Amino acid sequence: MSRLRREQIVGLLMTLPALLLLSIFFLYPLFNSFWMSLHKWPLFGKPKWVGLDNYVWMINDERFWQCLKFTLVYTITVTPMLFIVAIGTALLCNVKTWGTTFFRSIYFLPVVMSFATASFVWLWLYSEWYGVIIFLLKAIGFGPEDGQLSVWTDGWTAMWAVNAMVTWKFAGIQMIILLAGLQSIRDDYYEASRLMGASRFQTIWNITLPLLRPSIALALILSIAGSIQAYEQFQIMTRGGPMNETKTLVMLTIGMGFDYFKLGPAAALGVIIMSILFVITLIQLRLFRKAY
Amino acid sequence: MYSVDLINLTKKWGKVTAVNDVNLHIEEGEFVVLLGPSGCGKTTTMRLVAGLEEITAGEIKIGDQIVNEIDPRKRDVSMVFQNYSLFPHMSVRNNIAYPLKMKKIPSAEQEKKINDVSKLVELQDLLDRKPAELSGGQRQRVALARAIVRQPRVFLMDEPLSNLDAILRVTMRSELKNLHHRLGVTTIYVTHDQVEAMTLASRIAVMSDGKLLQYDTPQIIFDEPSTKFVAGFIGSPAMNLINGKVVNGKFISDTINADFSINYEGDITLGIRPDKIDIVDQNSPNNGSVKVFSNESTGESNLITCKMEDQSLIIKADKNTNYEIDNEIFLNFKKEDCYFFDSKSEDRLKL
Amino acid sequence: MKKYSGDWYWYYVINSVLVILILFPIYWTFISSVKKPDELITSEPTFYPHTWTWQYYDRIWNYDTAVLTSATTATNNSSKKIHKTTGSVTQTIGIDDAFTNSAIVSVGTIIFSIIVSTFAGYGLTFFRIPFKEVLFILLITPILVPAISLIIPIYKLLKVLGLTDSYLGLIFLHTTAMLPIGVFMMRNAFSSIPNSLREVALLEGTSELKIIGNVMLPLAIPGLLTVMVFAMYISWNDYVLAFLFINSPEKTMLNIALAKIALGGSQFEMKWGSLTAGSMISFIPIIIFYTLLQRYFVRGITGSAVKE
Repeated sequence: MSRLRREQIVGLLMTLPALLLLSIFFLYPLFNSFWMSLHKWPLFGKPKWVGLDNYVWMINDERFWQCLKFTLVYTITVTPMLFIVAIGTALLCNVKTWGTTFFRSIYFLPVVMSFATASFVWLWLYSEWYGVIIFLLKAIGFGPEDGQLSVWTDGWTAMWAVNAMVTWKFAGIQMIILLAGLQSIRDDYYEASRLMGASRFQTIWNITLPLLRPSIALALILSIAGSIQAYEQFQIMTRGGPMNETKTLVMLTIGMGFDYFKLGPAAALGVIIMSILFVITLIQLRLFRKAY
Repeated sequence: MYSVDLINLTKKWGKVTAVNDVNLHIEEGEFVVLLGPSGCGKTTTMRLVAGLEEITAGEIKIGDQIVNEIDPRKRDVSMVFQNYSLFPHMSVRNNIAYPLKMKKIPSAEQEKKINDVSKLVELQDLLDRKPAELSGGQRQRVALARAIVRQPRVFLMDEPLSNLDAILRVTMRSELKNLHHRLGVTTIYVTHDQVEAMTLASRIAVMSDGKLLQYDTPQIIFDEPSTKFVAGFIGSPAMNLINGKVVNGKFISDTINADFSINYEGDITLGIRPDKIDIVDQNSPNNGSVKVFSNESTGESNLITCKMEDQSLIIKADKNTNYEIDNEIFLNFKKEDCYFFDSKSEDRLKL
Repeated sequence: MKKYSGDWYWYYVINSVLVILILFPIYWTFISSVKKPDELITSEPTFYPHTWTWQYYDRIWNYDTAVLTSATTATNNSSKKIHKTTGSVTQTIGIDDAFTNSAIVSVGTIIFSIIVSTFAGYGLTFFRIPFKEVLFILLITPILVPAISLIIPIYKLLKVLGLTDSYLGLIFLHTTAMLPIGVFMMRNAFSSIPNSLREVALLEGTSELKIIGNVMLPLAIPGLLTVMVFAMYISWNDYVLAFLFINSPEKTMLNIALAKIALGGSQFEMKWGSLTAGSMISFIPIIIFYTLLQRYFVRGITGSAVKE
């Protein structure tokens, strides 16, 4: 056996565990999801080919549109919140001075805890009778003096309450991405800009932000992708309520598959979500194509 | 046109003194070069004038105005950076327009100024390209244009030619000289290349270890260096510096002795330029013999390196000569071509 | 100079305010987990604990799972058993067991991820494998596909493999999720080691495995630590997979067990003490990882940022 041959075999053997895992637990389910979405899966009996029926059924279902709409509204509202906090803290942490590393590690801290834990923490903060936030809101005049003030009774306020939690939790990751981008901008660009008469704001607007475009693109892509797949935060904090107003696409999928056992439509929904994500990411990549 | 004054200028980084009590007066329209090896404080001095670093002590005046506390934005000083600092995401036109944009100059006027400046540095055809598409020389001209367009009080240039290849460097030197003649703006230029300094400067400020050693016209610095360091720094190839002592009024060292009388006693350093040493016959009057270490022919001359005990000597001989390695040669030079330096303080002694 | 000190002032003020805002929820959770019930359940909250108790920790940690398993029906996830001290509870497993469950899966994921990623990364770097680049890209693709799209087929798959409701099943899934990051990191780590080191060792007759163990791994430690940190992060914090694919009460993962406490009962429940205590417990391992290995978190993220 030639040396090259031996090398190829050994190399492949080394990659085998990863490839096996990939094929069994990713590739196979990936193709299978398309396959499953084209069938009906009755509880008893064999699966039946139905072509695109599941998709048609899904598109005609009002619940789908309601969840889609909410998921999009959520994405559109939480993304700017995340971004503004992230860019603000990134700019702050870009200063090379004592304490910066400390501040940076604090801002990143909420990222580390699980989404579920973060939800519990904020659930308590928002608790109608005993939550601190409620207490403070009452103190500044919202809601009845003695009585409960709930953010969960209105879909709109519920969403914003969850947005606050998500911002707290995820701004850190975006901050790190933006910070990496900021630190790759050469110092002498800033010096040159300053010498040419630019104020700090002018420098940020004309030099920093344009050069930061690739990082901004990455941060946004990750943020939007994550928002479209929102699950834990709403499942735990609102359970989709009130009246399914805060139900996300993923919640719908899981409910359909594991509560109602409608595997076909659930798989179809999975494929739809994947496609939506694909299209949105593609659009963003096109928009941000020019780095400079 | 504005003058620039550095008064007792000092900059310390913690315990390290980067700029040590520098005093300099630059006349209106002068082209002054800060010359010295890496780490001598020349770039730091220039950055202090720009305001990019804070002064530890002393004053900087532009014209009659003390600018210590003034933000770099407002000092009306422009700088050409060593790596040009062209904004990569902007076209050449927008790069040049940037300072004008920051001053909120109306766009019609901006147009005119940009056009004038690009004609001056011959960039008219490149206005819509991005810096990444330009060659080193072209980028340098954009950097110049960007610095000029604002018509500042002072130009600062931080080793602008060091990233260019040798031939381009020579071309750009003459361009800069011509440009300065046309614009007449007071300029402070930093470099470690003494040829650039000699050819461009109206006056050179030689610096070492944060201190200003000598501040004079190029010719004076060449003919009358004030310290051993300055003498050894200017001139190519560098001046030979021979350590020895004067005993009974005569100079002696391991290999080189001088017959002429010197009014001094004790340790001393003798300086003599390579082209002022003659190679003579064994039987003619000479100052000693040395062994040839290497021969380098430059086309114009023959540079001969000789090693003595712990020093080396370079002699600039005629291009048609050839001396074999390990041969012994005899040298001769005159007192009026010699420079003498105190061994400790390194100051020049007029003997 | 006096002119610039104004800037520093603002910098520290803004940062301090932000730090307080960010840390507050965590601080609040902590003090809530140690306040006595009277002080906790009140509409006038106190901003530092006047009373102190470990009862919530004790209660959820030592909940007796054995009592429950015998009476639980197999398909009913949220069995409501009456608990002695609270009146009604939705906790179905002692947090100590849930903690252990999550720990088992996390450690398993860490070990598997390190092994799989190291071998794959090593192979892809030093061996001339056919279609090397294609394979590498393939291993990165999972990051583009949302897990949700695959849960239905995965469920069927696990059933077929007999891995539903098992630690191993979850470990496999988590490791697969880790593939993009793990393989990417390890390949990067190995490609920055000069090939000549390996070649010298080979010339001296060292076996490939020995080379990996003695030469490569020590040099690739930053990469390994990054993989470890992310494996822990993904596994410990996972919710969806643990929720869907683990059914028996005694195998419930920590996040899910806590969620049951959170979702059950009403506002007047004593559950808040349990919940905040549970949150702190869940938070501790990951915060230890974070404190010690913070830069590897950052490295992992900026590593992928640079790639894009």
